[in-house]
Amino acid sequence: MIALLALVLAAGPVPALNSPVGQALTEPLRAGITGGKVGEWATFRIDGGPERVHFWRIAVVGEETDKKGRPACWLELDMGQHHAMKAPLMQLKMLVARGVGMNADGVTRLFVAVGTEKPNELTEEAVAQLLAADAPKKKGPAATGKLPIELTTTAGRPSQLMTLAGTVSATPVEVRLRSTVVKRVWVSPQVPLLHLAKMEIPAIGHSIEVRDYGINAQSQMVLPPVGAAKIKLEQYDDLAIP
Amino acid sequence: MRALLLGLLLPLVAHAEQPLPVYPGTFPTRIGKDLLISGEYYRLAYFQTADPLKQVARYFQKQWVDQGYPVTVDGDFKNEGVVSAFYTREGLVRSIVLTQHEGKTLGFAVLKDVWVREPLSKAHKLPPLEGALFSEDLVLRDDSGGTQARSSLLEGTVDELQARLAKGFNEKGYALIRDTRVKLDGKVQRVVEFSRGKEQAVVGFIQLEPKLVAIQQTWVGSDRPDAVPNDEAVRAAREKAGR
Repeated sequence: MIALLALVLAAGPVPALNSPVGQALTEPLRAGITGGKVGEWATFRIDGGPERVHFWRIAVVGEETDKKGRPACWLELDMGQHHAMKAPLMQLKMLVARGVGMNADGVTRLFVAVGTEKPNELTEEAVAQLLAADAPKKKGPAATGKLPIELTTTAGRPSQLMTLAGTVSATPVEVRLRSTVVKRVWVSPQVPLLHLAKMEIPAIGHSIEVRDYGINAQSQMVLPPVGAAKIKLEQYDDLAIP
Repeated sequence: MRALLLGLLLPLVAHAEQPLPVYPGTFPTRIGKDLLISGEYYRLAYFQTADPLKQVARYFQKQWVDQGYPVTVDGDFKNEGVVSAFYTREGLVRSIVLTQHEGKTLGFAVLKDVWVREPLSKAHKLPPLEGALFSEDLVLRDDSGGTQARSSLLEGTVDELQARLAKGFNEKGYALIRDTRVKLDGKVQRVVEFSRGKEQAVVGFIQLEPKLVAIQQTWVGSDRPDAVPNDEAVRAAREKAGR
């Protein structure tokens, strides 16, 4: 069962976190979670086109010192078909060092559940493996010898923005490549954790909008009993067919 | 006063039994207590309604979708159909299995706990029969004892398989007490009965095809031969699963 879960896991959370939406939502958390207070949560509606609507919930549900002696917080990430998040299709719960962020160095414990499988903790090696696979690939020097293309960022004036979670005060920010809009982001201090009210990525027709938020988050994951077997991961990417 | 009342009620809420899905206007009848079927943990009830099968299915589909649960549907919804909701946080699956029966809709309400699993070796009382093309076990336990029913499909003749099975029962200490032949739906069925103390096993053989035999085995233990009452077995299985 654990081997099967590992297989599902390899095909589940990593692509989910590495997807454009997953990266957009978790990018701010990869460099550190200094501002997120325990209880803060937000749910986002992801619209990837017809029949491709789903929801992510991000919540800080606890804090403690991790095994390396660093201040850390318990972060829950859920992905599901309904904003109520009563039955997410994927659940992650991780202990993240606040000053380091959601990366291979910062995460020391990680629980995962896929579908109706019982949540289980990953071994230390599996956590490092999962987060290393999740890290954005470093880009090499451009083959042409030209300089990397520069993106320009333009911030507008704060204004009232109507969202699914209600009207919030937000600052529009546009990221452009020459005259093409790469993404539009509305940043709001009212939305906890990510401060993201809305985002549009026109090139791929995706949009992200805050659906609900609050400051009363509690852990939703049912943790396995102490001493339960942990999940190991095996690397499939490098396997070659003889 | 309110705090006291709340304090008294909270433990009851925390340990409340997980409810079965209920169709409005019906009175479900429980089928046994909690059941172990092929090692999996079930709670079952049935109900009957004059409402069309499709209407009943749509009621549950809408209710579960509106509440935010992933839902699957399967069947033609004229003669039969199944609607299931997946409670991923709790590890539960609630289903409604619908069929037509005498002009009415017969429904089975099912609650399955996918996080609790009883090892089959503990649940099984019937001796194993190697080489089955198909085999399904249904194990029930209640306060008065337990039963096990096994349906199997094997290659061979009735006489060959009867001899193999009798050897298995003998090795487990059962004695052959009856060997009869009865006619069922125009086919001859061989029925063999075994006994061990207060345990009884009845085995029926039907030759379906020249080299294909269906076997229905039923084991009944009225004196709790496993010395483990049902409630205790269920409690132990749930505790082991951290429920």
